[in-house]
Amino acid sequence: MRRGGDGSGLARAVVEVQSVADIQGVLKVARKYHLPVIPQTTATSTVIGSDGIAGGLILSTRKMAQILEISKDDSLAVVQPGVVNGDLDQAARKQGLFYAPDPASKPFSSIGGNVSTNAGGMSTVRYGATKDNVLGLKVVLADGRKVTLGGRTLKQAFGYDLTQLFVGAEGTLGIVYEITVKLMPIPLGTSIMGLAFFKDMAQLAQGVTAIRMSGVYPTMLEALDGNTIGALDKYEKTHYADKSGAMLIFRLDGSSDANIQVLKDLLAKYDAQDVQVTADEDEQAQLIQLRRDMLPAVFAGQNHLMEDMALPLSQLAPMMAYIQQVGHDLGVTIYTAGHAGDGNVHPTLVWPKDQPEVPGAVLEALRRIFWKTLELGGTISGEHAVGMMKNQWNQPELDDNVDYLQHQLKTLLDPMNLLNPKRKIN
Amino acid sequence: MTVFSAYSDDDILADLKAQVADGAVLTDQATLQKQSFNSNASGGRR
Repeated sequence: MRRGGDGSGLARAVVEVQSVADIQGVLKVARKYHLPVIPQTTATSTVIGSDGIAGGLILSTRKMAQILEISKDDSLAVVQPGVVNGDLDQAARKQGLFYAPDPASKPFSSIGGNVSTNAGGMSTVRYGATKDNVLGLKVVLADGRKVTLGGRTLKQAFGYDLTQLFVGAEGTLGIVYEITVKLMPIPLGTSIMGLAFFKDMAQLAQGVTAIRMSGVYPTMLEALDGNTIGALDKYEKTHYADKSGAMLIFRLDGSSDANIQVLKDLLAKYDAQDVQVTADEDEQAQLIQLRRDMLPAVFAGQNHLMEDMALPLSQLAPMMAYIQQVGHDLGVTIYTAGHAGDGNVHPTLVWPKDQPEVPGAVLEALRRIFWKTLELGGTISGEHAVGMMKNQWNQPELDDNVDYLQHQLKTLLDPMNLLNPKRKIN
Repeated sequence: MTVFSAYSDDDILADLKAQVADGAVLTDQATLQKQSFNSNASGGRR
């Protein structure tokens, strides 16, 4: 993963486009000189999805950052790709609405990037990932044509669903220049958040599965393992690690007292300890911040690789146990956290800062974890996309026929292979 | 990309600037370096 050793390289130019005509102009030049085009907005990819390619053109839509419309009547927003996720959410909240997808990068990642990677987040368990919240896209294709996909309706059954084809395409099929997203009404009633502590991640996963299936519809079920809690304790000067080996942060929006009681009963049934529940908004904000601080707490002073698998809920507990076993067997320190409610696990493998190369034991641990994920019916990319980090895994994840079909689609839409080449599928 | 191109860098950049009327074409080394190698994949910036 060292600079230059991962296939990334110095771009020829960065073009900060401000119009559709600019995008078409960049693509025209790219076609004429056979230059790779790397779409980029706020450049927060965790999978080497928007780094430069030697001699290529970085097409930045960072400055196309206007919220074009917020429609309360249609509960939607129309935005340019450079709009920051958190800014859209704040603007929507002024009108009694909110934008649901909330990746950890919410304060600084763009809607365009979120669409490109099909970003998820903490509330995916209730509101879905980005793909579930995109109604329509406007795209410039590699040949310069403009296409309008989807629209403003909550349902649409006409033609093939090309909107969803472009969500998560990582900029390999076209340049998205306008996005129509769903907005949700802010739930009525009391929202509660809380903490619960379990013996270990496997036991936590069993509890999460029960809560998920109970009908209380949690908005957040975030899991942190013992190593992660320890890192947070150092970072936050707290003492959560004294309590147990796994922490659950949960949230219910607009819930009845009966639902809250069901949640408490399930936590008790699965031996959760020291359960804390709050309806206070400031305390809830502190809990969300605690979850967001997980990343800097774990990353502090260490090299790291953060992974992103999603499992069927029934396989979450065995996966948690397996990750712990792999770390033990190979002597690799692994911090595991994730969006347990939707089966999304983020193990972070770390090694000393003074070792620039990824140690062999870390790569072997990842290899074992990825194969186990596939064996359990999961995916090795839940919400961070593929980029150049995992495109060597297309065949085992997709199988031969689907891998080939994906390349056929790419060839159809980008026959010169100009758009973000080397990412996602090749 | 190409060992011996028919076009020079200056040709390409001039063409690019002619095609981008509203935005900006940035070629300074600091920007190219920052935007080309911004990955959060390992030892990221946050």
